[in-house]
Amino acid sequence: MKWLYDRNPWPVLLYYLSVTTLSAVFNNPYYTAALAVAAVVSFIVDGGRAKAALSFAAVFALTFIVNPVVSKKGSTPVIFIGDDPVTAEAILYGLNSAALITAVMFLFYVFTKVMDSEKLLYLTSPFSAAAAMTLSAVLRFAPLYARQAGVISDQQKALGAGGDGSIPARLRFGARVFSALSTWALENGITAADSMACRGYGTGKRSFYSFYKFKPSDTVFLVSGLCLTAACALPALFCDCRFGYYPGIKPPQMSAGLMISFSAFVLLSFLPIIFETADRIRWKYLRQKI
Amino acid sequence: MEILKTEDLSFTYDKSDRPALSHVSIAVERGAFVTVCGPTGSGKSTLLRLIKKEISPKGVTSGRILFGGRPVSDLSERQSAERIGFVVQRPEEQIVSDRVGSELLFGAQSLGYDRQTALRRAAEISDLFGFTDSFGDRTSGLSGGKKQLLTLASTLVTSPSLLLLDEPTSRLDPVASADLISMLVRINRELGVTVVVAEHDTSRLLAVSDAVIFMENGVVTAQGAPRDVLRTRPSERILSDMPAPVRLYHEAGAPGECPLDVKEGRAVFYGYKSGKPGRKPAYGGVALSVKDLYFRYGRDGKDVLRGTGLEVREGEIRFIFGGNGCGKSTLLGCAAALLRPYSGSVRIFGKKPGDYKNGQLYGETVAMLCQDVSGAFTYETVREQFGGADISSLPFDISGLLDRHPYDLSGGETQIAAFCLALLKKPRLLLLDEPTKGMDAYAKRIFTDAVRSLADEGVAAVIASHDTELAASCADTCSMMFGGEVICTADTQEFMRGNKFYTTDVCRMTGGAEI
Repeated sequence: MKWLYDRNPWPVLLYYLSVTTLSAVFNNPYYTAALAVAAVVSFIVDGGRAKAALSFAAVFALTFIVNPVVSKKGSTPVIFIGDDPVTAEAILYGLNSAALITAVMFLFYVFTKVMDSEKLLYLTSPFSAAAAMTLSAVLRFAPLYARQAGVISDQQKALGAGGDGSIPARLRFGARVFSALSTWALENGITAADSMACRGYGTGKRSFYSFYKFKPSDTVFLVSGLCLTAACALPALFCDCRFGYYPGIKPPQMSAGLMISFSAFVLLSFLPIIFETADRIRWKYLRQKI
Repeated sequence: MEILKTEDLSFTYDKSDRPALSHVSIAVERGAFVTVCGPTGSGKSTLLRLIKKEISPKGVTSGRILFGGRPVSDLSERQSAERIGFVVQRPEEQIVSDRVGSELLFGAQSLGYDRQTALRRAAEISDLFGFTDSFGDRTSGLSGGKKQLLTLASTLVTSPSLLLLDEPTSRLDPVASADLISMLVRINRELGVTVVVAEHDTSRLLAVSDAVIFMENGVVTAQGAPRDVLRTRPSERILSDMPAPVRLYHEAGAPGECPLDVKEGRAVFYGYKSGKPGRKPAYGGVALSVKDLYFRYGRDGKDVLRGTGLEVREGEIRFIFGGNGCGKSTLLGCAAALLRPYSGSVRIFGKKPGDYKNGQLYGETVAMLCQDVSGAFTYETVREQFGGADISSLPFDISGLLDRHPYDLSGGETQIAAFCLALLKKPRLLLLDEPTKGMDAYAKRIFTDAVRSLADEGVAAVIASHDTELAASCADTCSMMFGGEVICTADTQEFMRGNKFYTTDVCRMTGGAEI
């Protein structure tokens, strides 16, 4: 998803907010299916890991099973578990929510890769330069602490402080590594504070600037995203688009408004993929000309 | 015209009755490159920190410190931050941001520079230091040497006129420290920044310095142009930290001017022999045997070790040389069974590491010091860390370190304390990764004597290092690694004579007559 990676963080954030909010509000199996397909496709295009996909599938299976088993609602029993009926309505509702949750997980997998720490900083900076700085420092801690924990544990083991390998010895060892890590973190903080003071931290108002520009394609992305969101949401104000699950399955009345809303949602779900494909074709074409 | 001057400066730390500095009067010319040398605890750091008011230590000061003719206490915090740059020892801890670019801009943003000014300065410095390609990278992925360069670069973005560095190379390997020093020379010569470096390893600094200041026990014992100062023989502690040509000049009582670098030294000492006797090692059985090791970090990575083999006998001191990333540390990690190779075998005194049960492997059989020994300390004081063990039989006198917090120790002191910890359980095989990083020459000599007397008792030592001078006095045999393989092993004399790069300055000057 090179195209999406290159986008300004603001339209990207808006896009993800809009697509997830719409699918949750409509809560309609057709909408959910469209989003799920788009999410999986973008996951694949982005080169997502099979391991992650498997764990998402497990979440899907689990959430899908829970609703029909637990829920007593609905009027069309399909099978009985003991004396408890499992209804078609509960199955459909479970399927829809499971697909929705899983789709959002696939989307977020890509989202977290697209929105790296530097972009999050950029999004925070208009509110407070100091907050942005703090966020940047905090983001640095995670890999730093993980590394130091490894350093301490290896060095302790290599000096024979690991004990005899029994469970109490291992627990003691873990506690010691953790306590050393916390001391190290505090000490590290002092050096960092000195280094910040040396470079004038706190002498006046901080400034902040970043390197993200608002390119023409960002405008295209933002405007098309907003238009599709409007086209999807507005018809719902004028016609009944609610999908009823209980007591019986009741799809909304087919209407022009619903058709417009659904098509807009499908386009919106696939928007990054459409742009990505267009971009790839354009580059192929450019290369042929060269 | 002096940019920096101290007049009769004395300083005593709170909770201390002995002055850390007494009657220090120094003068630094604008645009000069000045090296402050002296052994650990001589007051170098204290002097530099007193000049930088934001991080001045607490205590009683008398005398004056003038920056550009004005007392530093009169500078506003902003002026001090902008005009005096300061770089400390620890490259790891002084970086604040998670991206290279943000780190470069840190000082400029703290001082509230507008976008154009800040970017312009950051862009220039980034190009000068070669950070342009890694501008958006994470700082956690940089090597120690690159981190130290980044800190230096970030300090320079606000265009200070005076740069103070407190042992900037003490946690770096020699290759990275050479890079840092040549960058300092460029900054001094091309940008006109006055540079004051406190460092005990002066081998690369002396020849590029306009002036040196020798300090011992808080007193300035000499200052002036290096050649003038070195006409008279300095004290033993100072001399031992001087570069090889200076040491040889005073030891041999050579005529003429004191040579400051290898090139000048070669003219004086080519073919020179001192006739010092070498060590006659006596080897026992095989202590460590490593065969056909293959190792990589993660399945997708590339092989760091590619069929590496190594055999070290009891009573042998083996040094391993090789560039950064050649696999030295990984080999030691595998030999200590901290890392698991995916193919090949490791035998420690003939047994698989897994066959040592109940924690018998580490401590009493093998002890390893990793590249970063900060992990050796888990208590609040050094004393607790040693837990009442008998410290009188240790090679180093650590009684002065006992009540200090392990993280307050300097680079060299940390290594000393960690080395002593490694010896506590009397291991029979020592695996040491850059064990003398940051040590002054005096400490290195004690280290050498300690390792040698252990070897005489049959202890085997494998030492990964960049320090050829240390190897020349300490090692029985040396190996060179390249691309994950041990490509040659020879006894130290032959190894040094056969090499052009991994050899000592003495060997280079004398053309192999002496190593």
